[in-house]
Amino acid sequence: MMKKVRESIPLLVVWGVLGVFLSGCAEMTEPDVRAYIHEKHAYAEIRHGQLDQAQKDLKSALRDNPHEPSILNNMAYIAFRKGQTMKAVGYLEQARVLKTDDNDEPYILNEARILIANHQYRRALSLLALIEPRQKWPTGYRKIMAEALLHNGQSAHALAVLLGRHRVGLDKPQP
Amino acid sequence: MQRMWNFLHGRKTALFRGGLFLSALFLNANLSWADPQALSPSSAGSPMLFPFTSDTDMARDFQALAPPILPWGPNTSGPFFTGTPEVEPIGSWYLEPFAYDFINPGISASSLYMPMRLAVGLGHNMEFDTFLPLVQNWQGVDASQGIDHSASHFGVGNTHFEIKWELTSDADVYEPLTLPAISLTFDFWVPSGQYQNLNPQDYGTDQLGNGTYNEGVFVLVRKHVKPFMFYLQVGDIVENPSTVGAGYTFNNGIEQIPFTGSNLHMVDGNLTYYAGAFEHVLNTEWGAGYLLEFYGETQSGTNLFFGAANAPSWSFFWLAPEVELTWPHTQKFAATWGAGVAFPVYQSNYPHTYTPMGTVTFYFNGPFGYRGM
Repeated sequence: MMKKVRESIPLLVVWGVLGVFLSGCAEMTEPDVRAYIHEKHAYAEIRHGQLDQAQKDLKSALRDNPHEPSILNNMAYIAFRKGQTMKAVGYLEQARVLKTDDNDEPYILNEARILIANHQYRRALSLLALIEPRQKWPTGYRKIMAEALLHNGQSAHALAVLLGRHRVGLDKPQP
Repeated sequence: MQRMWNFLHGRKTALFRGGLFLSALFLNANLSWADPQALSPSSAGSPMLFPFTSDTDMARDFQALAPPILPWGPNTSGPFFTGTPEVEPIGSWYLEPFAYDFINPGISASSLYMPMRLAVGLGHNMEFDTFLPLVQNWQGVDASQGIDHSASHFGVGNTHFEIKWELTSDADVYEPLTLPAISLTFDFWVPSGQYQNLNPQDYGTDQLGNGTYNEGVFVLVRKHVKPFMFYLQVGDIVENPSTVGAGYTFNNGIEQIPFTGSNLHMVDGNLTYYAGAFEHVLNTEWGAGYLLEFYGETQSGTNLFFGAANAPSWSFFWLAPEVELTWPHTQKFAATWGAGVAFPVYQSNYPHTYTPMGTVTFYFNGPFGYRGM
């Protein structure tokens, strides 16, 4: 009996090591990792203008990680390039819901760009107004905000934005 | 008169209107957000003559976003013979004592080799390392060789300096077919270990170095493919000629100049070093995992710069399973622990050596963390 146990120890060790190694291989295909790889491929394809392939990869990424706003942003990019404006806006709305901090700025700017291109100036302005009270404005914000303000007839406000004057600063009580 | 009045009135009205507009524009810009009228930026006569692009052009600025970084770079003990290409960031350093116990069962002798490694991040993708080895040699009684008493000796071996220059970082820690981390190291050895004036009664245990100044260049590569890592190190070492004397044991640990012999102007052959490892990190936070490492060296019969060698040529190839763990693992300080055994697979004119090994690395992390994170 003891002899049989001793004989089976090397076999158990081999199978044990093989099992641990295979569990590692399984880890290579975790959903987050799969989503990241698909998204990375899609980003490269977008840069090379291969929008259909990128869309396929992004759909795969979204299946594995439905909570990543940059995937939705890039889905919006492809939809917009294909002329599906409202679909693109829908993706960006979803992306903004997932981002609650200041990192939502790229999504706001992109959505505003689509809305302005689609002549929905009032909606674009109300979206861009979310950024205005913040201490630091992202690159490109002043230009797009000024354009949205001018389209809404607020030229003086547009000038103030272009001059970089924060509304939040003006509201502060003077000493 | 009426015409004159009308003209002046017209001028006054125009001036008044112009002044009012300018006042309103600047006052409004500073004090209030009231807007007198709706104007399109593209319409003629707009007071806002900014170089705006069209709405369509603005839409071209729509940005596709790169995926956010999904980092994976656990701080693990890593392999024993293969280096890590990533350099310590500036402000970070680590101290790493090793212990290699070279056991030769057939000849009842062992050598405990303990390099104390200090690595300092220099910035600009550079790192400076020093290895100060402590050596404990032991020789047991062996009647077949006429050794009638045991002997042991402790001291400092050859000091080793290294400058590491990281050329590339791992481009993607999840995909295998992307650019790995690659670095070059420039290595120098100083013969600080005793190799002359050896005592016959110590049976060679008092020899702590081989007596040569060495220079080496290595290429180091590491590729992460979560949860695995692959390491490779290949290098060449040139050992400068040196004068050695009675009782000197050559660097294969077998041949020896007799104690009755005279001095020898020794030329070692070209030394090739190669090692590689496979690492599987089972737990990233605890740096827990296992490794399988290979390691070999070959000393040829010709020195790259100094002609034909008169020291013996030799080679060996070892395989080493290893385990590792990181504890504690705080942001400022971490200690990684590793242990393993190197088994001889092949040797030519080299001892059949088994090598149990252990190491601990104390990481003192600066603002940029540890290497490869």
